[in-house]
Amino acid sequence: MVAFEPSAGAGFGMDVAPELSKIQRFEAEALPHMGDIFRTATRLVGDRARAEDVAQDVFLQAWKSFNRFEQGTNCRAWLFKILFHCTQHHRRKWFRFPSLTEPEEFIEANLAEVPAVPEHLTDEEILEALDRIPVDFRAVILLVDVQEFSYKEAAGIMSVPEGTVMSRLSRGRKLLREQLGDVARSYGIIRPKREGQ
Amino acid sequence: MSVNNPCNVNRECQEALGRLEAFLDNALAADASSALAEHLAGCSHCAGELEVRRNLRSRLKLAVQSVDTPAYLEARVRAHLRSNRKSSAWILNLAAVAAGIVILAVATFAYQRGYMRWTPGSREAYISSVSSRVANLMRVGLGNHVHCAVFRKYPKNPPTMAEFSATIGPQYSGILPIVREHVPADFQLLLAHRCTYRDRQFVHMVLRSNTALLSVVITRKQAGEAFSRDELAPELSESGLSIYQSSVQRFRIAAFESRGHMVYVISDMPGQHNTELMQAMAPALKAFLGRLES
Repeated sequence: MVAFEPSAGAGFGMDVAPELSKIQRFEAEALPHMGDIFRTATRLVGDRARAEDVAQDVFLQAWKSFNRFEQGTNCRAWLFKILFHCTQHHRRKWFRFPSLTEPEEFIEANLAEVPAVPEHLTDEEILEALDRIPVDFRAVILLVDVQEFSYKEAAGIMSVPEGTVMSRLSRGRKLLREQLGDVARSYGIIRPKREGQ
Repeated sequence: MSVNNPCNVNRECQEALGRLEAFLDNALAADASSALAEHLAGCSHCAGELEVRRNLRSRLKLAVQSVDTPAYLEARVRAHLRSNRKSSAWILNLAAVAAGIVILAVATFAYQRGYMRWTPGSREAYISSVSSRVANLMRVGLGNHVHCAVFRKYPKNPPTMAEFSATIGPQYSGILPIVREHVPADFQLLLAHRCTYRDRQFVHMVLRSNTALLSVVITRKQAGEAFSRDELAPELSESGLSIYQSSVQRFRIAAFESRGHMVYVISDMPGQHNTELMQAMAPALKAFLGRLES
């Protein structure tokens, strides 16, 4: 599990010199992850302008809590945990619909053969397919397949059990393949499914 | 076992396919991972499946990373950090200046009121400063009170009444019970002695409550001294006894004279309490001094 809870409660240091050194440390440890945070936020909220707001919130909250961040621990995982906290907040604010809940025991057997991703598909088409997957499945794909977090780290970031990460991952990958297959079929790149296949 | 025909996927391949994603996630136990690697080395179908999935991830990763991050986003966060530091530093400086001003003001005020006078010179300067604002004969009692009672550290356990009687001497020891009888019970007698200040001798009693310090000061008149000649008008005149009063800063002074003595009650009690105490005590004191002088 990631060891840090995001919080806006921490105060500022009173001494100026330690404050400057804190800024330098924050810039060195946290800011390099701005790109990953923004891109993941974009896929999670589906809107570039909102993603900018979310990414900025993530770093401002991280700055406020930075006193409690232990040097040498996983800053990137800590920032992603704050990202998911912020994303939940923004989703509640913007959409007012609950997160997906799926049976925790659901484990998809991963036996279906996977169609190759056609070379002709553009990045935009792949992203459109990803964006059509329900957000909780999309989130776990972004964390594990794109950001290469372990199941354990992803579970900590999303505050769910590791088994839930695995089941969502399995289901999400299947849904993504189906979406990509639909895109490919619409372009005539792969043959339509036959009845009963 | 090697299975090269995709149409003839056997149970071993089914197991292998089911573990491909976990294999890519590095989530398989070591023995399961090496068993799968061994199968993949001999099974082109499963190896192909692995490659397709690996390729899917790679394409997905590239697609997500193709989104560029606006440069101003990082600049905005950096600016926030700096502005935050500046504002906290500014607030810190302002608070330090404000605290300095308050401390200086409090220290100045306290110094003017006679506190923090740690050298004999500064104490005398203070006595001269407050004395200059009262009539000449009022200065006599006030000066002794400030010099002897205000600028003094008292022992935690003061001497007993018998010891004070001995210190003050048999001639004036009869004053002690009069003072003790009239001064409110919450005042503790801290000191009763004879002292000399500015070449003048005094009989001096000091009492203290939680909120006030009080002196009863008696001194012999010197040639030509009389309150009535010191441009002082009596504030109270009862039973043939004139009481004079004055005040400066926190000090209240009430005084009367007998034929040969001047008697002062000086304290920092609020309002008229100081004069009222003198009114209550003066007849007995005057009678005592009258007997002494006859």
